[in-house]
Amino acid sequence: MTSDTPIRLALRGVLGGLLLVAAAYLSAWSAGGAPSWATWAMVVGIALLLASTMALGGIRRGRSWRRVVAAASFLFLVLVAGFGAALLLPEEGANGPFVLGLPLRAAVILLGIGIFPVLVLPLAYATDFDDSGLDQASLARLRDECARLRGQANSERGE
Amino acid sequence: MTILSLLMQSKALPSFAQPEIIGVALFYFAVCGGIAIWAVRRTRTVNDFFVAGQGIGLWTLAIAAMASTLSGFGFIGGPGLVYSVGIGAVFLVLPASITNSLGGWVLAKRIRLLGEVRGLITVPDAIGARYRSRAAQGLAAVAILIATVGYVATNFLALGLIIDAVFHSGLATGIWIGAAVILAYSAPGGILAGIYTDVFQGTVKAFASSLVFVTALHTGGGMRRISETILAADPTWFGPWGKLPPLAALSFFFVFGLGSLGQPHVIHKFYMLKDVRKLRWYPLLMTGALLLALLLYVGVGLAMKAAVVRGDIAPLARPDDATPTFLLRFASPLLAGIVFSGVTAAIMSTVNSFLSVGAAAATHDLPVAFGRKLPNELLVGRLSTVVLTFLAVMLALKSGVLVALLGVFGWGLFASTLVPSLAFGLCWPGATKAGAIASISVGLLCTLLAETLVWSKAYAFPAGVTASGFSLVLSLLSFFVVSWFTRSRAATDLDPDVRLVMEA
Repeated sequence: MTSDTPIRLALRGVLGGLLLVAAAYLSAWSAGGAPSWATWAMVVGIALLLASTMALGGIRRGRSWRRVVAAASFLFLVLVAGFGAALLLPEEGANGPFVLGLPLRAAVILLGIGIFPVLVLPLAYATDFDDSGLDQASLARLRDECARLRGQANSERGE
Repeated sequence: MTILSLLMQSKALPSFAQPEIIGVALFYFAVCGGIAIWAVRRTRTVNDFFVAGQGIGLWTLAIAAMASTLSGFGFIGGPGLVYSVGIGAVFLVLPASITNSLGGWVLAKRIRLLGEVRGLITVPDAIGARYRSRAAQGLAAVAILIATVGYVATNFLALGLIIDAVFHSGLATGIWIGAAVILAYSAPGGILAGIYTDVFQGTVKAFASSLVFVTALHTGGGMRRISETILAADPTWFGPWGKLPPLAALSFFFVFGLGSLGQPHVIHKFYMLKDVRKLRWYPLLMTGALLLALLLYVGVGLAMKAAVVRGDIAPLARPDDATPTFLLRFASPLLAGIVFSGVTAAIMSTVNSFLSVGAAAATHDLPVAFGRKLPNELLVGRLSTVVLTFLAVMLALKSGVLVALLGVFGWGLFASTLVPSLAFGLCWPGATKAGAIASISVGLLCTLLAETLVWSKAYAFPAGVTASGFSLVLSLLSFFVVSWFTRSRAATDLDPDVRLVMEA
C-alpha cells in the first residue's frame, strides 16, 4: 500500500456516495415517483459520502490514519444502522415501545443519529488532533518555510 | 417547497407588548450596546475589523460560531415546522451532531494555518490561494455577496417583525431600528465587535432554549406522556420521517450535513483563533453549545402538538405561531422576555457575521480578483458594511417578492459554490483550478436558476428532490469531472506552501 492509497480509497468513497445520492435523485423523475430502492441508495449514499469526506479530511501523508478511519467507519455504521432501522422497524402503537419516553423509531433518529455521534466523534477528533509542530516557534518556522517555498515556486515560474 | 423558503420569518407575530418582556428586551439591548462600545474601541486595523485581530480564544470561537449558525429560524420557524410536519422537520438540524467534527477534520486546521502563513482574511482568499486563481476567488466572492444580501434582508425583516411584536413600533420602523442597532456596532467594530456580542447572544440563546425545553416537557407531563398523546391521535407525525417522504427528509440531512462545510460565516471564524492548538476541542464545545440552543426547536414543537391534541389549545392558525403561542400560554413573562431576547440575539449575531463576510467580499476579494488592492481597506470595509445594510433594509422594506426570492438562495448557494472548491479542494491535491471555477459557476447558475423556477412555481421538482440538493450534487460532479479531465494541471495549480499546509 502506498502513502496515497488511503486518500484514493477515501476519494472513491466520496465519489461512490455522490453517485448513489445522484441516482436516488434521478430516480425521483421516473413515472410513479422514486422507487423504494432510492431511499436505500440515499441512506447508503449519504453515509458513504459523509464518512469518506471525514476520512479524506483527516488522512495526512506520512501520519497514522487509523483513528480517523475508525471514526469515519463509526459514522458510516451509525447512519446506515440508524436510518435503516427507521425504515425497517414496524410502526409503534400508542403503547410504545418507548426509549427515554420517545417512540422507538423516533428515538432511533433523535437519539441514535442526533445525539449518539456527539459522544464519540468530538472525542475521536480530539484524540486524532496532532498539535506537534504547532507551537509558536514551529509556526514561525512553518511561515518561513512556506515563504521560502512560495518564493522558489514563483521564481521558477518567472513571476 | 424549497429548503430556504422554510427558513424565513415573514409574517406578523402575536403581540408581546408586556412590561416584563419590554424590560428584558431593553436590558438585552443595553448589554449588547455595552459590549459593542468596549469592542469598537479595540478595532484599529483591517485585521481587527475582518478577523478580530486573530486573537480570540476557543470558547469565544465556539459560542460565536454557534450564535451565527443559528438564526431566528431556530426559535420561530423551526418549532413551527416541527409542529406542522413532525419529526421530519428535525432533519434540518439533525446533522448538527456530526457537522462540527466533520468541519474540524476537513477545514478548521487547514484554514487556520493558511491564514497564518499567507495572511489571509476571507474565505475566497483561501480559494484564491489554493488554486492560484483570482477568477475562482472573484466568483466565490460574487456568490457570497448575492447570498449575503438575501440572508441579511430576510433577517432584517424577521427582526422588524419581532421588534414590532414587542414594542408596537410598526414593521418599517422595527426594521430600521433593528438595522440601526446592528449597524451601530458592525460598521465601526466589524467582526471584532460582532464576535464578543455573539458570545453574549449565544449564551442567551442556549440559556433560553434550555429553559424552554424544561418548561415544554413539564407542560406536556413529561416526554412519555407527550409521546402517548400524539401517537394516539397522529402516529405519522411521530414516525421517523414525520409527514415527509423519507427521501425528502434524507435530502434535508444531505444538504444541511454536507452543506455545513461551505458556510462562510463559520469558516471565516477559524482565521480568528489565536492558538491553532485549541482547535482540538472545537467540535466538542461547538456541538455542545449548538445542541443546547436547538432544544427549543424540538421541545416547543412537541409540546404544542401535544397541547393541541389534548384540546388544551385550539389548532394554530399558522405553524410560525407555535413559539409565540407557547410562550404566551405556558411560560412566565420573564421567560418569554428571555426567549424573545434569544430570538433577537439569534438574528443579530447572524446578520453581523454575514455583514462582515459580505463586506470583506466587496472590499477585499472583488478588487483582488481584478488585480487591485484598495488603499484603506478598514475605511472601505466600514463603508461597505453601511452600504450592504442599507441595501438589505431597502430589500426588506419592499417585502414580498424580491426579498423572499433572495432569501431562498442563502444556504444552498453557499453549499453548492463553496463545498466542492474549498472543502474538497483543501483535502485533495488532485483538484484543479478549472474544476474549482467549473463547480463555483455551476453551483451559482444552477442554484439561482433552480430556486427561481421553484419559487416562481414555473417548475416543481419531484417529491424528495430539493433545488439546493440538486444544485449541490451537480456542482460536486462538475468539480470532480473537470478536475479529472484537467488533472495534468493539478500539480501546477497547487503552490508548494499550500500543499505543506494541507498536509500539516
